Amino acid sequence: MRKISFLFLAAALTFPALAQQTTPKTTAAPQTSSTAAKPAPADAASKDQLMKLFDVLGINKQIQSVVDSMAKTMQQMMPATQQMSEKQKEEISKLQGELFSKMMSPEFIHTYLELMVPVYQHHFTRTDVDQMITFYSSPVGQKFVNEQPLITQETFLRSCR
Amino acid sequence: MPLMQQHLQDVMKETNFDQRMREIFAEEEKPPSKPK
Repeated sequence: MRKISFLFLAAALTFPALAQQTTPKTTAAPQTSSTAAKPAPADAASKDQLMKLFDVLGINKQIQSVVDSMAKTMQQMMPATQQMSEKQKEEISKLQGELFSKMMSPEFIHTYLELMVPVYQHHFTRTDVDQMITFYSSPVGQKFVNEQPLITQETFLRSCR
Repeated sequence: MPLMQQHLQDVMKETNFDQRMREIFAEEEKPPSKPK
């Protein structure tokens, strides 16, 4: 039981690292992590701009994709770690579904996005974000956004082999 | 990370995760009966 509890924890705690793969690359100079506590620069992107960016980036969908990957991986790993009956597998699957749906509730995702706003404000100006919104709203930008969850999922599954 | 850890702990508490896991594996974790 402890092994399976550990799997839940390990997979869930992997989420922030994976979610960071979804953030766009930038040419802006890297900042230290402590900059998030300082006031945003005068030309920083607004919260509305960033929420629009997160929207066109489809971050919600990407988070969901990561969660689905974790769930699939856990299902694949469980029979290898413990011999479970069909009933146990069914109950575990139900509990896992409940856990992940509560973990990734719209409220929590909103909280997480709000947390990202000041960080992005220290890395991107209004102009940067406008350009990113333009790109990610374009057909090729949307193709990138739509392919990204599959790329992340395939990469995650490969990393677990 | 603390946000995620705290959230995970809250969700595990809310779903009664530990207790339910114990129940699912209750049979498995029973001590073997002593041979007569």
